[in-house]
Amino acid sequence: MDFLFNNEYLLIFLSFAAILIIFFIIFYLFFSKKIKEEKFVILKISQEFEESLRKTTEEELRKIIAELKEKVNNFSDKTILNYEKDLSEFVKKIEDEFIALSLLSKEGREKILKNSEEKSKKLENQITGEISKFSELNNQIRNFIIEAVRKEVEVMGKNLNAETKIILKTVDDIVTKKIIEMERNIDEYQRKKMAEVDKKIYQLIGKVAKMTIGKSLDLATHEELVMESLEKAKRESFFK
Amino acid sequence: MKKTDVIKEVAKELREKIITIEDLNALFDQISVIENFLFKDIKTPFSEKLKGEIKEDLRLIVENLEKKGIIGKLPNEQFSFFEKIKSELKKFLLIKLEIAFEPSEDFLLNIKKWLKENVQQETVLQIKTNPNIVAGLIIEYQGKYLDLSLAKKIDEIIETITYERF
Repeated sequence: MDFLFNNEYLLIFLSFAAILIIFFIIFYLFFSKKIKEEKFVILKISQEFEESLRKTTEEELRKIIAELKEKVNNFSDKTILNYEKDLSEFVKKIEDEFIALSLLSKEGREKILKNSEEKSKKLENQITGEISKFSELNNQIRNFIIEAVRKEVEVMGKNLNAETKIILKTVDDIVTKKIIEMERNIDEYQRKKMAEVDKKIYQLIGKVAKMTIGKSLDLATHEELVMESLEKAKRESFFK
Repeated sequence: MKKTDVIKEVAKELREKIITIEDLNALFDQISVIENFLFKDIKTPFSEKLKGEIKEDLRLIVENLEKKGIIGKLPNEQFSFFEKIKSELKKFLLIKLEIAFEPSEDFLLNIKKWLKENVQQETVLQIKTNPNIVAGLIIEYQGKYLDLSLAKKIDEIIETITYERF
């Protein structure tokens, strides 16, 4: 009966352990979802720091992944160790039970032994199954986290690339427009300056012409030009 | 001959000698001197008193008028006569001419002659010498202005060239 009682106790213990494992699995799934949500928050950050943000985020993610890997590994190692410890204790207890059984009748011993073997095998199978499931889940969690992070980084990278391209294109367009505008302004400035210089040259020519012609004319020509001017004024009815 | 006609004739004779505004002002100054002597030493003949005080050609005109008894014997009559002469002389039309050179007396007479024939008004010239106009003439007459200078023509040519170029 003690043996049976002990087996029952063991079963409860193992069930409790399984619940703990499931709890941890749920915790990690939740934790990975939390990481995912945090990425979206990061993605909303201003474009001005995109590049540095991307680098920082990648670095942070790498750290988180490393920490998670370590935690998962530590967890699985500890769990396995605990199972091993439990099993060794369990085996010891069985041995003790066998010693006790030797005191029983052959028939009774065989019956209990058979019963015990069946239960032991069942328990063993259960434990092996749990460990296997846990390892599988552990791997799944690990792969899921790695994949999720990789995807996020990829998406973020793509987004950043696309946004960067848009920004670069916009900047390029602005720069091109500015260059064209500057070239146009320079051309206009050159044209105006040339026009000013030309005007000044012609004004100078006019000034020189005035001085030269004025001095080169003799008095008779001057007088003649005055009389011609009076005649012109008359033709234009200036005196009426 | 009526006294008014005589005054007009005298004014006309005087105007013949006037070409520029300076000539006219000088004549007004001379008439003022004559008027100042009207009330001095009334026993001495008027033309005698003016000897050396005014231009001789003008004094001879006064002498001639005095001999003919046109200007009157009393100082008040004489003063009135000269005031009417002054009033007649003010009927000149002023023409401002800007030219590039210092004009000779003969050239100014030519202009006066031309104006008398073509404008048909008694004119007096206000001459301004300005070499910057190069050649030709700028005229102002009865509030009108006409630039017929060579400087303006040169400016117009430069303006046309620069306009066509730009």
